[in-house]
Amino acid sequence: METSYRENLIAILETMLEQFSFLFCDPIPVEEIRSEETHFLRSALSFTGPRCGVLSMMVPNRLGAVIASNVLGTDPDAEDAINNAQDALNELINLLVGNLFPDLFGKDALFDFGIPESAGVDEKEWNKWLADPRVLGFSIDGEPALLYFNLDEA
Amino acid sequence: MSLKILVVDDSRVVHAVIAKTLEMAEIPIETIHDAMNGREALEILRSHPIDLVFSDIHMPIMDGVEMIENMWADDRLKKIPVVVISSEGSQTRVKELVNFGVKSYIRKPFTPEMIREVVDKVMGV
Repeated sequence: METSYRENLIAILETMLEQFSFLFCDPIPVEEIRSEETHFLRSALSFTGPRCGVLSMMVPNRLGAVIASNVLGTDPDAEDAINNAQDALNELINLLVGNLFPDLFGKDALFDFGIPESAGVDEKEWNKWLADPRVLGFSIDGEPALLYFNLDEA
Repeated sequence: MSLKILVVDDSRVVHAVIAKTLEMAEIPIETIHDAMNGREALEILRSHPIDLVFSDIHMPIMDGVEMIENMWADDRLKKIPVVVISSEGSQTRVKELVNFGVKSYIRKPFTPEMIREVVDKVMGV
């Protein structure tokens, strides 16, 4: 990932998490990330335009429920939070892309965005991401989160 | 005047956020209907009286632009104001939507004050 994009992405993630779900995040080296969980949520948003690519995020199920609970004003263990965990992660990805791109490419740049693709994934996929040097690691509310931004020429 | 509002977004989390923000903005509301896409929205619009539509653009089955085109083509629906709520930050897209006839555009994340200002402008509440 280009260094300049990395800084923008970290700043936007911090801002969106705080404004959307009243949560705070800290970048952490991926090699320091550990998770006790075995089930994870992944959301990926593809885009085309002056550049094309995908922004993806993966979090333990528990963190998805924490994000949803903060947005909905419920407990993370509440059924409503658990059922809306993937939905909340998808919306966070929407916010990240929508607010990142004017910073990176200017306010007049026009992109076509897809709809977030959702998936529940297992430890195997999580570990695959941990081994990918392009992935960024974060700590959100004490839980690990991974972010992957792939940017190609159009 | 209490408003009958339709929220169109493929995210149930966004439905909840908009309903909560409308409440925090102290906008008088009679009812809030929720639709997950443009097709569901058109069904609600054709069967319920609606004063104001808040709609996302990117949705499965029928997106926001196609929904608005269908509204413009229907004499019963074409006067209902549509406000787009989207995370997309491109000014080019905003200009396109305004030229298309959208009443206003609110960029996510939004505040109660932003919602209040737009509802005041669009509905004269």
